[in-house]
Amino acid sequence: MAPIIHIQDLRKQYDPPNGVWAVKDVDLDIEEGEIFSFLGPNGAGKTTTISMISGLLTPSGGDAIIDGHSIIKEPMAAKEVIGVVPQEIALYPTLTARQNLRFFGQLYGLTGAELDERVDEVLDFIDLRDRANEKVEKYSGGMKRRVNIGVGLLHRPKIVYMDEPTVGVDPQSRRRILDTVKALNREHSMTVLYTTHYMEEAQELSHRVGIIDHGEMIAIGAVGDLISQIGENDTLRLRVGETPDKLLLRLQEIEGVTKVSADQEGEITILAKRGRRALPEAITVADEMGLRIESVKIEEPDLEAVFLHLTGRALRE
Amino acid sequence: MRKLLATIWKDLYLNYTDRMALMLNLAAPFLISLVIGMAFGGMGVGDISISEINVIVVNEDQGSSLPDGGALNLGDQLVEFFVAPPSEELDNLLAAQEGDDWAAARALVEDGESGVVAAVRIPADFSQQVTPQGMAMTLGQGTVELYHKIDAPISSTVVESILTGWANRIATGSITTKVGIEKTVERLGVRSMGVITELTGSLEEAYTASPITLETQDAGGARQTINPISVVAPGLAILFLTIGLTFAAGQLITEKQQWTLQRMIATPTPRVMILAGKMAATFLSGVLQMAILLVATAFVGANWGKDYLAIVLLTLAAVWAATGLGALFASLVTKPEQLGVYGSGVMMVLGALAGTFTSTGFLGDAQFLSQLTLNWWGIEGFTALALGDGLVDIAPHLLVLTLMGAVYFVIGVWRFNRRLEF
Ligand SMILES: Nc1ncnc2c1ncn2[C@@H]1O[C@H](COP(=O)(O)OP(=O)(O)OP(=O)(O)O)[C@@H](O)[C@H]1O
Ligand SMILES: [Mg+2]
Repeated sequence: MAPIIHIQDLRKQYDPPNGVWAVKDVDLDIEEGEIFSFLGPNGAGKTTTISMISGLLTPSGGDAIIDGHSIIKEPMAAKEVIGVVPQEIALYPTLTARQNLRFFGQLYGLTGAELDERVDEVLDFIDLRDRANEKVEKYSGGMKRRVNIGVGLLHRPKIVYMDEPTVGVDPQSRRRILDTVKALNREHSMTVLYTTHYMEEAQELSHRVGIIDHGEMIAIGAVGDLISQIGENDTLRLRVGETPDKLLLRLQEIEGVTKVSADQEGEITILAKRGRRALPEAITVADEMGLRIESVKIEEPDLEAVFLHLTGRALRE
Repeated sequence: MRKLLATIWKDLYLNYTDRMALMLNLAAPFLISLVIGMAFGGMGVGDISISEINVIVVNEDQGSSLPDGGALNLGDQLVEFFVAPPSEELDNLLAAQEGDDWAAARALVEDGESGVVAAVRIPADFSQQVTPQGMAMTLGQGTVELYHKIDAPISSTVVESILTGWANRIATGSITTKVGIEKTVERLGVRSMGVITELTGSLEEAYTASPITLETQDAGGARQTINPISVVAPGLAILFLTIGLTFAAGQLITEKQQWTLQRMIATPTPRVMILAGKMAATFLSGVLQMAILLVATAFVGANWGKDYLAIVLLTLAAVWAATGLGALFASLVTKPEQLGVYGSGVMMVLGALAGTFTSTGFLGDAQFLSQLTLNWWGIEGFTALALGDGLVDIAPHLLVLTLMGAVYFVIGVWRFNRRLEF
């Protein structure tokens, strides 16, 4: 069966001829019924890619075939099958949730009783029916996020794009959103393209993950496959007060260490073959430099480690 | 089509639930009408354009001899003042001629065809009466007669005011009054009416202070029924229209910022339809705003004329042009905040260029600039209708406004379309 999303040589340069290449030659197939995640840091090109394959942004090159329709040549037909949940809360703050849903529903071609029915259905699904007649500006961040998702589901699309739908929400709302995504996929057999820079989300949700960095798809595969790519590496996390470059260089020299990186909060991530062995030496190195290690963690490899392995940088910098 | 209606309806709903927009669109017209009504309500009638006032001055003054042996003829001075005015403003305002027969002059005023609006007579003993005589230095009472048409009250007032000022000047020996009058006259542009109040004030003052009596008599005839409100209202209406519609068109920028525009584009709705919906909503807001303004000002006495079809068409044309201008302007700025500052500023400047607040005299050689504004064409059109012109007379205005709107639209939409390429 042909993939429901077929992305070919897709690229985008903002402000040509000298602007940034936000997306460089992305090739990707997504199968019907899949949850596929784009995992990448800020500015990786996730939103740019989503914008191109939802017909908002004209690609500088390449094309995307959505359910058999080219987004460039038949944008209207392609848009019919896509539900878009933008990264921003794309709602009219002075309208109620119901009014927002009704308006966008009309733009999806829904009318009359069908429109009423779908709006109620979505309100039930996002569990906001009892507060549907309040203005969106009065809602909490999590509620707004839910309405933002709801609008993308009105026309029962085959595919839904969700661009970082959990940014800025409390843990409880995040849980709820993740469960919503799973429910959409399982109960409504929607194909979901999900973007995030939280590897936990990608790991929990996705059948497959595409790791994107600087506009390039640097790895695509099932979570397990991606992790096994990096071999027997363990991840060591050391929390130190400061992270001078000299320390990082010394750590790098320890036998078995493949990658070292530090984030702003003073956490050092070390990728090492048989990490447990590298640990005592790492502590010694820090000691010698007069730095106190506050905590140590050894983790099984995860997507974070994969990203570090591929780019030499931590996902959240 | 349904989608188009949905976008229009949504925008109108947003417009009229947003307090700021509501203010601009609905409340402002009421306020304007109220202000205009209060400012001009008690003032009665006026005529529209004042320049080249046709006056005949009949000088019968014999002159008098001064205590130092010199001779003085004040009548000659006045004739000189009218016929060869000392300032350019006055020269533009007056087209006086000297006459020698008072009865003939009066007859010309009465004759509707002659164009003469007033006649002034300086009697034979005038200089004699107002020149200090002998050691007593007492003054007699000199009388100047003014005979004017009743249906040209402003022109008459101007002449009256000149006479008064002149009288004051003689009486006080000071030139301050003269300056005052020239200032007044200067400000008496083609459209500014508030000046009448000032003139009336200075007249009263003059009567009590001056040894010269001005006898004013009107020549009878029908009064024109144009309320000064009609003169200022079109300019202000169009000014507020342009400001309001700039804001309305600016919603597109807000929508882009809050991503609702992108969300609309992500639905299977053609971009042109989204833009058209937005513009149609803006246009409708403008029509509503103008309609309210026309009706509200009519209540406080504005006369918009009797050619209703022409009024409707001119309103539509003006709103169309203003919508285009708003769209063009909104396509030039990138942040909604810029609209507030630059938008109203630019629209005020355009309004000023078109002579909304004063006459366009300040433009000097650059008068043509006012004709580049839609405001000017709107004001001229509405003023013409108020004066009793009909559809045929304002056809050029309709045409120009429609073309202006079309040009603005093409540029604005083109720019927006490029901007939709995020
Ligand atoms: N409208 C634009 N004009 C110019 N450059 C842009 C524009 N939008 C994005 N970029 C640049 O393109 C690159 C990719 O941005 P994009 O928004 O696609 O990243 P992202 O992966 O969605 O990041 P985030 O996690 O922050 O949402 C970045 O370098 C960004 O600065
Ligand atoms: Mg993004």
